[in-house]
Amino acid sequence: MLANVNATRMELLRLRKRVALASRGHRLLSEKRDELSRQLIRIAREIQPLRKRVEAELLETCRRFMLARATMEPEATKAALEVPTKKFSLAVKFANIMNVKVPHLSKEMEGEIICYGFATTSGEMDVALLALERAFDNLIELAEKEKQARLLAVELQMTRRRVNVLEHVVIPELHETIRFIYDKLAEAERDNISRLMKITDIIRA
Amino acid sequence: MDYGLTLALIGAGLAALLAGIGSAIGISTAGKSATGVLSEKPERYGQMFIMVVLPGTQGFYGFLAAFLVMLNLNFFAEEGVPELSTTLGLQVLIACLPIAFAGLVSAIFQGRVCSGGILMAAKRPEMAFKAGVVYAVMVEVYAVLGLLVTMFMLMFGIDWPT
Amino acid sequence: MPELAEQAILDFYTYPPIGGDDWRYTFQTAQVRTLEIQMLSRAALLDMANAENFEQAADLLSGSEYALPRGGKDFAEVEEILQQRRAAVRELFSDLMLDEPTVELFRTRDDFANLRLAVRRTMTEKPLGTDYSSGGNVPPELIEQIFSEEDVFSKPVFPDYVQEAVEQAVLAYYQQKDIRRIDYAIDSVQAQYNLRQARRLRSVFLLGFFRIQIDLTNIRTMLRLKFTESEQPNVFLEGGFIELERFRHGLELGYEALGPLFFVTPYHRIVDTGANYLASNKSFLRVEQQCDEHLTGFLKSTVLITAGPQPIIAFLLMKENEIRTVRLILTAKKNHLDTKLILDRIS
Repeated sequence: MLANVNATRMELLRLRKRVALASRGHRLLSEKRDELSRQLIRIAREIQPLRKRVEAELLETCRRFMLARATMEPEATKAALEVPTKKFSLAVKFANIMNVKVPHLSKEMEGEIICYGFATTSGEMDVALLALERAFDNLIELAEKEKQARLLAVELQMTRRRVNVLEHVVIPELHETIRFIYDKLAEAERDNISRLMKITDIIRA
Repeated sequence: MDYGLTLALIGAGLAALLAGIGSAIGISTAGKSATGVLSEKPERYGQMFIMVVLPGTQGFYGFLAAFLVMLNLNFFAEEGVPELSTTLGLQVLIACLPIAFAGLVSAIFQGRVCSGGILMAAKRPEMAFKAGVVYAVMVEVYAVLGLLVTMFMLMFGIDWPT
Repeated sequence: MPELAEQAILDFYTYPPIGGDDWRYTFQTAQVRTLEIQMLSRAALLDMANAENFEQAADLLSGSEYALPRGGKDFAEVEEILQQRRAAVRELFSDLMLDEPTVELFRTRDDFANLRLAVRRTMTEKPLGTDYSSGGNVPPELIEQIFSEEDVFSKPVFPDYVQEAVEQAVLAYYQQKDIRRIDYAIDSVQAQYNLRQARRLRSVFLLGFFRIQIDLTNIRTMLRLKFTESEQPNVFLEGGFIELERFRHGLELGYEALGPLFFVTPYHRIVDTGANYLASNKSFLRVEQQCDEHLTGFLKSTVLITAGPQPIIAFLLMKENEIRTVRLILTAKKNHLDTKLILDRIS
């Protein structure tokens, strides 16, 4: 940058404006960074217990289901689960957190999850399916939160890089250039003065 | 014309016939049970054997009674069969009935007891003799009683012409 | 022939009567009795349940007919073996039973399972497919034709219970447009058919067995309805020993009040233990275990029969139960489930 800079007063003024702009941007961006990380930590804190709960519920569902399947005749299991009665639809909306578009999931469920008769099926299957139904709510919330966290994390990383670039590269370089131009201008000034003094001396003499 | 000999022969025949039928049914029942067990556990043959054979004794008792009648009628002697009055013939017939019916009924039921005993012996081999055989023998006792009555009647109750 | 005596709940204490001997079955009974000795003992099953891992449990089976091939790590292989065992037991059963209608009666269980699947698929307009169980009286290839309307004359003649089940199921579905209705309808047809057949066969044992089965199903249904808090009218099966009023009443009571409600029935212990376990552990393991136990107890009472069809039927059912238990233990061990759960289910 230093190589091809026009050491002019015009340039100096321009650079000074840029420095002011950059440091204002830096201030704003670091504020955004702080806020983003605050949000991210909040979401992450929510995710952890939710995740544990969902995992436990799914494990429970799995366990029950295994028990149910093991105690029923294979034909009965097949007949019971062939045609589900529960309808499930998922809608995605977008919300805005710190100018980051995050998905917001909403689900619609209809029908009962238990889709079979009682005579040839095991009660454990009921428990398994009800646990699955409960797990679905949390599962969707978890998916939503995890996606949000991921998007925010990407945004945070980008912001932090911008802040760092401003702080460690752009602003110091601008300052350096300004000093360079200032020095150059001062040098030119001194040069001029000394030349003038020399001319005065010559004229006087 | 006296029917004495005919009646006596009917008696001897009934004793051998009915007791024999009973034994056959009894053995077939016990035998079917035993083959059922043996089809899966051939090593139990020895234990099963006695219980299958037990209902067979009634047939022998019947045969014994019939033989006794024939002996007393001099079937096997040189001088031939004597004339028998109808009354005497009827007495012989009646004397034969105890073993005939006791043999018939007890053999069938003994077969069932043996069949049960065989099933038990399949599960608990150590009880085979203690219970299985003993219970079957208890049924046997009544066949023996029938035989005794028949024999006493034939030997002491009838005034044989020979 | 005298009319088959209907037992009332007050006529017996725990198990209904099982009828008398039938001496045609002497050989068959003896064979089955001997085979019973070779079944896995309770101790063997408990050992398996207490085994540390799947391999150990599988090793315990190595001496029995369920021996797994060495290195058989794939669970599908285990399933395959269990299925084969079940097929073999059913085969033996049909060989040993002299009364063909009884064999057919037990084969209808697969028919009804197939029908459940087929009617559901038809009603939801899915392809019927051919992946049906071949253990029923109606071969899987013919199932599709049950629903074909055209040309009534060339249509193969299906047993009347198949027709009835399909009609009832379709009717029930269209009344409420609810798939579960199909199952309820078929369950009910199946239960009534079983009872009717048992009466026709003049088998006190079968009649008692099916009525107990209906009662136990009703008990489970009651607890399941309570647990899932769903309202389903008319799902209880008729024809059991216990009047339906008692079950309906039971739906309105709390778990702890159920035991006393069934105090006068033979199922007091089942309901009491099952409801308590359900309330504390949120699980049906115990009630299902108790139901199995009750049914097994009834089947075991056939030991009093020296010759007859009862021990053979009992053998079939106990063997099927054993296969289910083995599957349960192996599944649980394979998936590292808690040993306590297995023990709760099997003992």
